[in-house]
Amino acid sequence: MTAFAPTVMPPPIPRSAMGYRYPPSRAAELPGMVSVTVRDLFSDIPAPLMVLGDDTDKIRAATVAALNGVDLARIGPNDSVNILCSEHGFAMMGGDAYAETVRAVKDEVERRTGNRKLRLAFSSATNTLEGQEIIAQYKLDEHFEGRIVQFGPYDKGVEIQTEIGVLYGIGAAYKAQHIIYVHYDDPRETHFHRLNGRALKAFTMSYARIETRGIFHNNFPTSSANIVPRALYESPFVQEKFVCAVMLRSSPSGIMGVDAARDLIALDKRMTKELLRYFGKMIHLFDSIDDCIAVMDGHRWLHYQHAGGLTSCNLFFGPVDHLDLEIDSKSPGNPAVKAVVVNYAWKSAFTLKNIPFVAAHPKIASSLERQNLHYKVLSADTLEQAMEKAYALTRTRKVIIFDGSYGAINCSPELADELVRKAPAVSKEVDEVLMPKWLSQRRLT
Amino acid sequence: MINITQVVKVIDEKCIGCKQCDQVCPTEAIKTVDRLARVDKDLCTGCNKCIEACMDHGAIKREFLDAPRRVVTDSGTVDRSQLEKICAAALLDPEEAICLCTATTAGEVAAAILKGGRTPEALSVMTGVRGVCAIWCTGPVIRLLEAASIKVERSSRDWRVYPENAGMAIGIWNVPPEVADKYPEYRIRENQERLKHGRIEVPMFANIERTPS
Ligand code: SF4
Ligand code: SF4
Repeated sequence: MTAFAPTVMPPPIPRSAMGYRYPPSRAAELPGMVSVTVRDLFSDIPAPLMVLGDDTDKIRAATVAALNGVDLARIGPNDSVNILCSEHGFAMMGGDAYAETVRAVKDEVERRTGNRKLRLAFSSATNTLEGQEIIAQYKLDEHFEGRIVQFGPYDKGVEIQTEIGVLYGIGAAYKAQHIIYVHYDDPRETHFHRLNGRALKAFTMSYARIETRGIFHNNFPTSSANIVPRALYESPFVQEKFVCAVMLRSSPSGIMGVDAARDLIALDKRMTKELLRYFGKMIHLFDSIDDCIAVMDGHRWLHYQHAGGLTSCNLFFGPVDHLDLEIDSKSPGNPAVKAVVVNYAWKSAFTLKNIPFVAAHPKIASSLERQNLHYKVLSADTLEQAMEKAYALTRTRKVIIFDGSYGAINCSPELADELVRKAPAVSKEVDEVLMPKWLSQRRLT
Repeated sequence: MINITQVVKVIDEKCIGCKQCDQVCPTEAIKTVDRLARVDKDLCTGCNKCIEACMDHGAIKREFLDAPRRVVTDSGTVDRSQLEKICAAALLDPEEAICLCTATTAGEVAAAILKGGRTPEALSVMTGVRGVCAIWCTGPVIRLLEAASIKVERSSRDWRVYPENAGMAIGIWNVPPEVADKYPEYRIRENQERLKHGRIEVPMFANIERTPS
């Protein structure tokens, strides 16, 4: 077998009340684990603007440059302005890039408009505890001088008339004359948004009530569901407030830069083309894995932890081509994932009915069992023991570690070997067959 | 169906009677009367939403049960054809889970409706549906209630549920033609056509299911 590089150190795990017990060690420290770099797999994925550990000055400069092209004249010095931000952006590569984008937007808009009352409107995925921790970690309360409003999906709603009927936003998000939408392109959950309006999704999921989220997920097939956030975005209520979108851009190799526009649809189109190009190959490489053990060791929700810049849900809900809009793309769970080892994650009711879980500590096991009826959970005392149990259970030595890494995948040599061997064929198929199809299905040719 | 392992209790001295907890409880287990919140532990599913709503005051604490309490409505004890009729009108397969957290099926909720559940809160008490996160299952619950001709009504000051349009009113099945044509990238007409012939699969969530007539 080829000799591979040592593992890369993933983003650190901050302490959190949302998590299972704090891990004494990281999966990247397991003896024998190695790494493969994203650019060794796919050399055409361009070098990033920022990798983990870099200074965030580049992100600040990119944000200011992106905003240069945006007219902010409608914001008066005494107007109320909400800078909308969503919790998941802080999951990307340790969160520093997104935090800096948010701070830089505030500073630049303040400088250009003279408005000193800009407020951060912070959306949490499920509960406001998430927001409290993140706000403290990135010192956002200091930066916004306490002008922060936090909300979750159950907060008081606001009625929004749209072309498909009345939908409900979160009142606090929209309680301002102007909104600036600061978001990110992380293609997590391609099985839901199908990269067919990804930039819009937060209007349904981050800034909408539970009923509207339910309509998006339950009342539409995924290839049509983005009509819901689109209807919200196009509504007179939102358009009257919408100043611009500022989008943190990424690829499997790291943070690529920042884009901004008044026209979110135009921004979405250029972003989608690049996402398909940057992430399409990595998604299909994950789909090509024959069998593996997934080790969860990142600082957020289990299904949104990254390996090589791509979230684990892309593996769990493979090997279906969710980017092909002609199919329904329902995956009952990827049969290639033989076991999930949990070293650390935030607790969530994520259902993977048919995959056994191995907890790296009895406290994790009891937590998993308590919160969900469907996990098959085995318990171990340490991560090393959990790995041994997973090896015995699955009879595979192929391990992929979801620890938040961009630019590289930490894994076992057996999996590294498979990835390196399969990448050229995946690359060719995406370039010659899949990419032309994906682009034409989205009218992006 | 849900296995409840934990409920909550109120620390009276810390409660200021603001009623924020009442507005998030899926089962009406917590209610503020005379400026003091009270918990009916038999109704509580341990979803912890009230704890979050009360974060500023810290008046609600978790309390673990000695043994899990199972809540289930047996769908074998109702008229199967009535149950199927409700599910069909809601475009749901009776066997499919509509609640990700508890895996409660459309059929179990329909059975609870047939046994007298007439509000989202009553159905949560009877089946456990909405008993954990409640983010995605509230819509299908209202779809099933509407399918049984039960209208959920709420005052504008009550934000536990906004029933208007939360059920069947907005879906692939009734997007106006002019909207479908204005946004062809969302393939509305293609999917409407497909639904005429049966079902559309939706990842992680219940399929949209039309019983052939
Ligand atoms: S939210 Fe807290 S303080 Fe307010 S009524 Fe409920 S228990 Fe009391
Ligand atoms: S069901 Fe949830 S919101 Fe209601 S009292 Fe119990 S923990 Fe609190």
